[in-house]
Amino acid sequence: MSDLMADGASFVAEQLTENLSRTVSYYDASAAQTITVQATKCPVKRGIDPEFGVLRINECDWLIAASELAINGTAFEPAKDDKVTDGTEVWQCLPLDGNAEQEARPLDPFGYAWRVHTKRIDV
Amino acid sequence: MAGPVPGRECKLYYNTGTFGSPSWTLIPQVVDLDYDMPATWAAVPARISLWNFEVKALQGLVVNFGYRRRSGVSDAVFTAIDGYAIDTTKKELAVADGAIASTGTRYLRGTYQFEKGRSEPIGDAAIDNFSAHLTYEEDSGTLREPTVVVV
Amino acid sequence: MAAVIQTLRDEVASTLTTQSAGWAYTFSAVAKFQPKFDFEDVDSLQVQVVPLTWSKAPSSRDLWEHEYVIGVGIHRRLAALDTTIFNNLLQLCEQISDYYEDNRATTSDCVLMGIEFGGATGAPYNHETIETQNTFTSVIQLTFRKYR
Repeated sequence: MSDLMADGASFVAEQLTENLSRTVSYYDASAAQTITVQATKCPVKRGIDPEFGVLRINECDWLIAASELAINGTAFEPAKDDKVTDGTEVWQCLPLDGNAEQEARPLDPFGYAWRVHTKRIDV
Repeated sequence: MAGPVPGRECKLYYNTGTFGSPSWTLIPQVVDLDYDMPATWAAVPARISLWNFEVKALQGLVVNFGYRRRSGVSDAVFTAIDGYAIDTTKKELAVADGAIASTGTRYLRGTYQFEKGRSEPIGDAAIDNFSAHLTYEEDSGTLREPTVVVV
Repeated sequence: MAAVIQTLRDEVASTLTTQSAGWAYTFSAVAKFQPKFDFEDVDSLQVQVVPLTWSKAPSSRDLWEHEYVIGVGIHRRLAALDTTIFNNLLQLCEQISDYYEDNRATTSDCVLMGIEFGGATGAPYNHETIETQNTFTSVIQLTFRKYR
């Protein structure tokens, strides 16, 4: 009996990559290597952190198929301090403020795609 | 000011004139002030009654106040009062619940001799603490006793 | 004629800028009404000085005791966590607080009464921003008092 949920998740990951993504550079901090991937840019959030005055932060999530994240055929997981470069903008993979969530999480229960949380560090 | 008065709005004066024609000079840098009128009570029991009756034998009066002296600032009032504390000068004080010239102000008038101390807490401003004790003084042969005056 | 708290803030910023030449990092402290940063710009050391609180209480029947708390905010974002740089930034925080302890600077005719880190928390730096922003954030609160 097939797992429709898994099949559906796999289909979604494929569609995101083929039809709803853009080409960006992805820097794997642990390997210190940059690859080119297809990534879906989620709406940018502009937050304010009121710790001491106002800290204006642009935040963005990237949806990336797990199959895209591989170096020389070896898959890796997104981790803190990885970077996504989209044109002139550089986004660093960092946990959500308030310690609400780690820097990345699987988009579906089966690991077909990742949701990567980033903050813009350069324009 | 009608109604309950916060301590900060009360006034303390000293007399730079005479007993008969006082000139009340304000002491502005007072911090906290309190006065006590402790009485000595004599017991007068008698077999006629179960009760232990008392009569007031003596009455005291001591006025205590703190003074916020500012280092480096010329303060003629402090200079005067500080001087009274290191000699036997007798001086009148008026402890008032408002400006002494205002109708309705109530003040305690008495003649005192002074002593003092000083505290310099590490976390707060230094303060000079004065204690004025009711003293014996006559004016033209008439003994000066404390009086309460309502303006 | 400027408010005492404004003059105090400006003097603290000027003093920190001058003294920093001999500290772990040299910087130009900026006096602000409201500190504002863009995350992109915090990759270089930012030191901003702002008035935080101002309270008054009677000191005598004629004087009021004014207490001013001036906040010194230290921010620096790193590409990745670097304990060497974070240690240097902690040392900078200590150098700033030591300067005010040792010199008892009478700034704007106000007496230094206390030095605190992180306000009520007492934390020398914000633990959360280390993890979520790769940023060292510290707030030093200088409490001054003036009788007027």
